Amino acid sequence: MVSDHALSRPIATANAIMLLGAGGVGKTSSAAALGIAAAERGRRVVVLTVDPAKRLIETLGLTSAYSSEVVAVRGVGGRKGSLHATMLDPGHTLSLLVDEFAPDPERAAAIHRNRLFQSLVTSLSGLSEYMAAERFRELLNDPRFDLVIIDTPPAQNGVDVLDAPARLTALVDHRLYRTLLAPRHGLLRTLNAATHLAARLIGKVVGATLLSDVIEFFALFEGMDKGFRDRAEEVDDLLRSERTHLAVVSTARPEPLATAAWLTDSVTDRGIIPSAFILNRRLPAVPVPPTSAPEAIQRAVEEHNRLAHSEADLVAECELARDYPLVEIAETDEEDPLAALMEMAARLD
Amino acid sequence: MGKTTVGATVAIAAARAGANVQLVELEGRSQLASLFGQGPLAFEPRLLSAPEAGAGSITGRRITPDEALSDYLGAHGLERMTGRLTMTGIIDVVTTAAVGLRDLMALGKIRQIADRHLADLVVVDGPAAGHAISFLRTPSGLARASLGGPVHRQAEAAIEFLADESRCRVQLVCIPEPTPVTECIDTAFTLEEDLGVSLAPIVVNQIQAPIRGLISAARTVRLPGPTTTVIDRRVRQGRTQARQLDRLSEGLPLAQIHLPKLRTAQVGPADIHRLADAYGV
Repeated sequence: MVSDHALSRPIATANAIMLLGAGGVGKTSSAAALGIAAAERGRRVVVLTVDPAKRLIETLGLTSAYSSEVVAVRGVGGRKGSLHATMLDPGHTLSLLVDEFAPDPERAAAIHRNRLFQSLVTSLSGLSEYMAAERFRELLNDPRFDLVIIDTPPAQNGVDVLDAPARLTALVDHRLYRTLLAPRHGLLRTLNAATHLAARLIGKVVGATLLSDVIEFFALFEGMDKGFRDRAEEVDDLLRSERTHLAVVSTARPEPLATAAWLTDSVTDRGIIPSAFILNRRLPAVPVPPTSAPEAIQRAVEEHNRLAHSEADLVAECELARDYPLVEIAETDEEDPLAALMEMAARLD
Repeated sequence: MGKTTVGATVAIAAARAGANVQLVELEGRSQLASLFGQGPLAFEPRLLSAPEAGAGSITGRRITPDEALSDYLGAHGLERMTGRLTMTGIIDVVTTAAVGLRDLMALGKIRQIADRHLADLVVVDGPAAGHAISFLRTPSGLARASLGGPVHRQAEAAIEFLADESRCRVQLVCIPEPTPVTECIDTAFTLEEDLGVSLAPIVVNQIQAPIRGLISAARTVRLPGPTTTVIDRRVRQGRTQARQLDRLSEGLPLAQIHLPKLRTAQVGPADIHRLADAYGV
């Protein structure tokens, strides 16, 4: 069902809006546009982009420096409102967490020296989702802002942000790692004979050094699990709170639509109902020119309408468009990126 | 950008040249198989296009990092182990700390298909720009951690494979618009300079053929508002396209392959075959 103002209430009242969708559907632009709409309503907004591509920063005409700094977007928000943007730096966020929860500076230093920890911080692969949730919490608690908009990484990784609190706990507290450490009592020793056999075999396959490094890694986090777990629970509550809204974004193409349907199923399974389904870059069909019009005009319109009708057929079959409040955003004509976002903002609110 | 569609067209072009091609998707939810009019892919390869007169076959498969990891462990005799649950648990502990391990195994599997000549060409529908870089950076991250043992050897082999232009190249796909072109140029430099990966010609997708006389016609005819918008946009897109193609040529000294914009939202087998003509095979 088309519901033009489905996002007006979240824009005016929510504390957080999270966007999910396939790659390249305009999630980042939607996040920025929602931010502009909310800032224009007098809210103090920060947009967090998790996607390692620096698109938001570029779209907003800012420098492309990769940092976890919060940057003000000028010319948006009138007297009361404001818009800031920031990019996730997963390594930096994780390092801050370690410093916060380590019992003493020596332990923090030992963790920073650990080889696995270093590869975790530098390679980033798989780390951004853990850290997006933590950065989200930080920004929600930041007194400068009253609305946080998160642009999640594409597809699967977007849902991983929701699961991140649980995985963050797993990062520092793995029940099984305890069984890998030599058990002290006779009874436990028998119970864990199978575990030790398995560990030895896995050690052969992945390397004994890796296995002992893994054990050292978890041992370093010993005692820090409570801090991490409390934090994870707090983030989880925030993500599921009714002041957090979630919207699914797609374009009218089979692949992103399939991803959007899968993402919607994944979040509803987790008990979260999307507030809106945003269909971006829609191409409405236009009136056909009279036959007397020049051939070049006929051809341009014919090519446009062929694609427009094909898209319309696809949207007509789309269940998400029927089941959730649908917000359609027409393809913009603006060349200036900020002006294009302003136009999009007006359509979203 | 149409990365999946482009992957399918590359496979078709290579098959036309006589190569047996294996198409690989990494996420497991792409529409790759549907482009060939087939249902979703599985880990085991399946025929997508049969070989015919002088042309090679195209098979398709899905290799998710999780599947690659269990395949690796299986190949090393861990499948027969009793107490699979315990095993899964320990693997979970290990991959929680060594996050890149699964991605490394996916790269390893791709390398294996290529090196054992299970196909003449492996075409991988990779992750989007930002994620592609962290995916391809995984081996050097793990190698730097110098963990020793089989993982280190895997990482070294992956680095060598990625840097060997006779075995592996990355093909970037973009569309002729400002942000995608900027991103494509940035990604190209990161891939070549930081990761030592060689690049294949850039594919620029969704190229619109100019309509002769459109600009002057647009000045003379009065049309309803929305129609005028469409005409104006087409004129502007023509200019943007020319400008962005120039920017791309200036920014990257690589050959470009141009694929025409399709006028359908639902791409099928006939469309990808038509697009593959652009490779001139």
